[in-house]
Amino acid sequence: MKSRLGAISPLVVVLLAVLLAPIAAPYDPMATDTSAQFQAPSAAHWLGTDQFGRDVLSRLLHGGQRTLFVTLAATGIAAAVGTLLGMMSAYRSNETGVSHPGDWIAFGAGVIVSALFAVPALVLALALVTLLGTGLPSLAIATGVSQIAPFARLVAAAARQAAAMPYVEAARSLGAREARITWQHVLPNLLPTLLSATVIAFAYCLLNSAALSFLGLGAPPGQPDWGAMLYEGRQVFRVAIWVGLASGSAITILVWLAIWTADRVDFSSQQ
Amino acid sequence: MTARVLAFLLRAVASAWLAVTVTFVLLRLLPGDGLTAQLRESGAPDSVIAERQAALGLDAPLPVQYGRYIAALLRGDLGVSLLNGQPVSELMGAQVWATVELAIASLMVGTVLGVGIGYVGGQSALQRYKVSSRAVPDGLRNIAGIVATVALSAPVMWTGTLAVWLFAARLDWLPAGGAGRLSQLILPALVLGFATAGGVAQVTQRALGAIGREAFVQTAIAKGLSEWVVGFRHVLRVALPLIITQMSIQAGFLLSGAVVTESMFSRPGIGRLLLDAVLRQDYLLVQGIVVWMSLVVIAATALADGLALLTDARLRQSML
Amino acid sequence: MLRFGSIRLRSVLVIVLMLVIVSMGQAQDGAVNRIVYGLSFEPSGFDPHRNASAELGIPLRMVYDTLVYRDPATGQFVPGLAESWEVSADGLVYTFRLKQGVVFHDGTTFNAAKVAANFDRILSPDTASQKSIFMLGTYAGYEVVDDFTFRILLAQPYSPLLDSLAQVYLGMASPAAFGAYSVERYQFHQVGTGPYEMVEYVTGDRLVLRRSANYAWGPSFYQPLAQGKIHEIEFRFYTDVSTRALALEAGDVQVIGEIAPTDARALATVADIQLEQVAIAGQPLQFLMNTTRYPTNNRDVRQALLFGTNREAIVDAVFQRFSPVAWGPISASTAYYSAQVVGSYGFDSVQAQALLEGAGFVDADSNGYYDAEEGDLEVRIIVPPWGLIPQVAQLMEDQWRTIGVRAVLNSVPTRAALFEAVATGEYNLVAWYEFGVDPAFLSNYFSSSGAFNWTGYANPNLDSLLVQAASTLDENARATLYAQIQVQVMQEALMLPIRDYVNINGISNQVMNLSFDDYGWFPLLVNASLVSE
Repeated sequence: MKSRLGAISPLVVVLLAVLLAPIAAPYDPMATDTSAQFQAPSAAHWLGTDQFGRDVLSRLLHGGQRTLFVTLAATGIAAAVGTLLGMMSAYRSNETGVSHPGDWIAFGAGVIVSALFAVPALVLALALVTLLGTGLPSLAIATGVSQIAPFARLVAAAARQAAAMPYVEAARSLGAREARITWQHVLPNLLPTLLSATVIAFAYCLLNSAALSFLGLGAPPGQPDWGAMLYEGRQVFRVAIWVGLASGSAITILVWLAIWTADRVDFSSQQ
Repeated sequence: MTARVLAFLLRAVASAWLAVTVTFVLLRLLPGDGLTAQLRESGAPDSVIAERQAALGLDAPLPVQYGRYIAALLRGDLGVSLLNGQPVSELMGAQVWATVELAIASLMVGTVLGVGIGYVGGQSALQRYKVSSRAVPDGLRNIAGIVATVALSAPVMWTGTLAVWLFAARLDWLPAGGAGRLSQLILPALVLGFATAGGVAQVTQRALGAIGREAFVQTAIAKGLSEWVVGFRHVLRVALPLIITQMSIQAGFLLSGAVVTESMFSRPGIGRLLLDAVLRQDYLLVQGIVVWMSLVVIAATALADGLALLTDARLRQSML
Repeated sequence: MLRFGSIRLRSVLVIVLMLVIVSMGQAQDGAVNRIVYGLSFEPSGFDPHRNASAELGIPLRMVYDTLVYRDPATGQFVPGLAESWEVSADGLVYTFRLKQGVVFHDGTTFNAAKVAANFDRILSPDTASQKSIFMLGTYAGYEVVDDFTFRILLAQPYSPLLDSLAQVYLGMASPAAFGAYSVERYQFHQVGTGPYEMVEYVTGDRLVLRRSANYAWGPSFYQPLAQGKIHEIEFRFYTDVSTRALALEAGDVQVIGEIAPTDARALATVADIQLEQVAIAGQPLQFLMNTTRYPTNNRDVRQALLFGTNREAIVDAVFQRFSPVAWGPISASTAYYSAQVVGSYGFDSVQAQALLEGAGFVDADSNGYYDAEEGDLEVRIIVPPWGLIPQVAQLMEDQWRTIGVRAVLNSVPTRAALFEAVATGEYNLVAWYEFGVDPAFLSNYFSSSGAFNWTGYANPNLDSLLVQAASTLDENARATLYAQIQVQVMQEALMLPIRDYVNINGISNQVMNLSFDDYGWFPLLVNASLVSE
């Protein structure tokens, strides 16, 4: 366990840095100065300015916070519901023979997961945004819900593998109840998978929330947010490539870090 | 075995039904719709709006509308677009080939790139198990690893913008968008292919690592088979099902949601059709597209599940 | 070994051949006098009797003729398919004498019975028209007097009737053609009398027009067929804004509209492309102010917001100076525009703060914002995603910080969502505008019973001005009335105008004489020509 925590510590450190980054911002991220539009990176503005003369670096540092809150919330939703559904759909997966009410739970959970996979995130996002209003909560929920299915599938696959382990068979043959088996034997062995799946879900939530903000479904206009900045960057790439370059790099680096961390967790749990 | 197949089918049908129902409910919960909005904008009085809705059967209570919709679905009727009255199946049929073309091209690019990168990057794992030594220089292996992760990590909107900026705006080598000529397919296929290459590379690399450990490989080496032979033919051959599994999942995603790529490159296709339908709140069209997409995604994941089962069985057998 | 080699060689050759064939595709750039025109999106339907988007008019304005036209030079009505017309003294009967010898693209003759069939189609519930039927106002019926005389009857005088009849949505189609197809399929086989015929429409891909050989009955400002005229036009859809200019530079299209202002600035320096900026008549990009909700229920606050918005800066930063600042409820190219509104509420943050303080607002907690009943002085704005409105709103938010007002931006993703947000009443400002040359649409916005009365303003005096202006046929009276209306709207600070809408078109130097009609959106392709090689 200690080595697993050690594996995720670089990611945690970076996340904390991103959360605290606004302190380091040299300018007010919302202050416009239309005479200083589209300035290339310089000593005064290390990452240049955007369409309204706002300092890109300051917006990047402030935007990380907002982006991170949404992504963490979405990851939480995906992990919590995904674990539950995943465990349920793997319930009694290695039992054959006499049908049991538990089998229906597994079937139902499996159907829900497949259906969630199939409903496009776009439709979900629009529905949520219209019902709850634009803004971060709807973005977080839409992104989180769209990642539940992949998470659940991962958990289900790992749970099935864990349930096939010899010592689980042994416990079953000794007469232990199904629920107790799940709680005491299967779940603890899933922890490394859950950890790495959570980190992967974090990566995909980050990517997907950036994609949804291009529909105007994200932060209110003007608020710094990496996804929104990526979209702005695309609109002005002919005259100011640095706007998109900065936010895209930030997202890529954070996602890369998450994936690298997930690999390390996997690796450390294999030791 | 038949029980298993039946269970699969039952699950697929139930999932498709649930997906369609959830979409139906979500869309109808939304206040307003595209037709009413357009009529209102044109200055139509409320009485006319009510008449038009009645003509389309939209004034019936929701459960009745739902029942009619499911009955029509079972007959193969996907309904008509709210805004232009054209049958949904026709609208989709016209656009689906563009998406398929893009998906196939991207999958090809992604697989070639991904397997290549994954194989190079996976050499360190093979090396650990003494399957391969000094076959690939350290630097190249590390670069391959980094490229694979960047491919996974970079948002498509970003790589797409950079690709257009570099190849279309700066260098003027390739067109920035549109469809109809082969040259217009290159950039989007590269961008989307690069994104899928990441997943394929990772799977390839991990497969090489996992399988390198396996007994049959060790046995083959003990028997004195050359490293290259073992490395390439045996290991990759067993890894192939896993790669194909990954590809089928990717195919599901590609076919069902090339929304961002199609919008970025001004290409027609199901992704853009869906985006337009959602933004115009033409919920009859959205529902029709979701039905199709659900079936595609569910079929793709069923295929992936099946392949995974097969792979598992083979691996287990080979271990005995 | 040789056998293996030749199979390989053959398969390689086949693949290469296939690639060559595929890449030749449908782009037949070698054809004579042909251009590709880029549209900004694919409308949900291309039938002008049924569908509503202005985009469909860009190709179809050339396929259909209308009874009358507006001369782009003068804005006056000139004969089209009707060679003359009379209006009865009470304004209820319009009698049109139709041109003779006009023939549809399918060879059938044009006459009054055909006009009647068109009206039947527009009014039919089966057609379910989304726009054209609502342009007829107080329409009460028609009369076919004889083969070439057609009468329209109104229940009450309706000044904008001729304006409606001049637009493509009321263009004359061949009844033989629309009778032969179902309502949804006719859009693929459209037949009119215009200078161009429709060749095909492939959904998602293209719409193609070809010059009609025998066109001889156009309005005075259509030039006759001559050397260099464009023979064939292919319309393609370029939905992504940021790559439109690239398509033009790469030569994929010869004309494209709705270029982003930032890209247009970059294009201005490119040698073989001209920019054509076309003013679109109608309402400017504006924010309607809700006079029934705090704090914009106070006129001083509304005026302060007007003074506190630096529109020059917005036009500069967001629109790169391609648009003029707007001063009133209709833009400068709209009929009956009054210059009296020019310069009203010029940017003056000192005046803005004075007004707010005069209204009793103070900043007791010194947080930079005036205090309201609870918290800060907040103004809630509904912000849709089109027309660069989010960018405008961002600048306004920052500008209003200087005058101590906090802007709260409420983004709505779609039109329907915007209507729902307005219906809740929880807004102070809402961005909305419509296009059109005849300002009769102002009644919808500023009359107390108007369908778009989102300002909540109810003034019987203004109501009667609007009613008179939309029912009198006396041009001078209308001009005077609309001048009074514009001034009053600005005095009451019912809306915040930002910029007159300008469509930035990019045109390749190969194309000459491409101008746009009075409404602004529709290119007069009939007059354009290609530079001879």
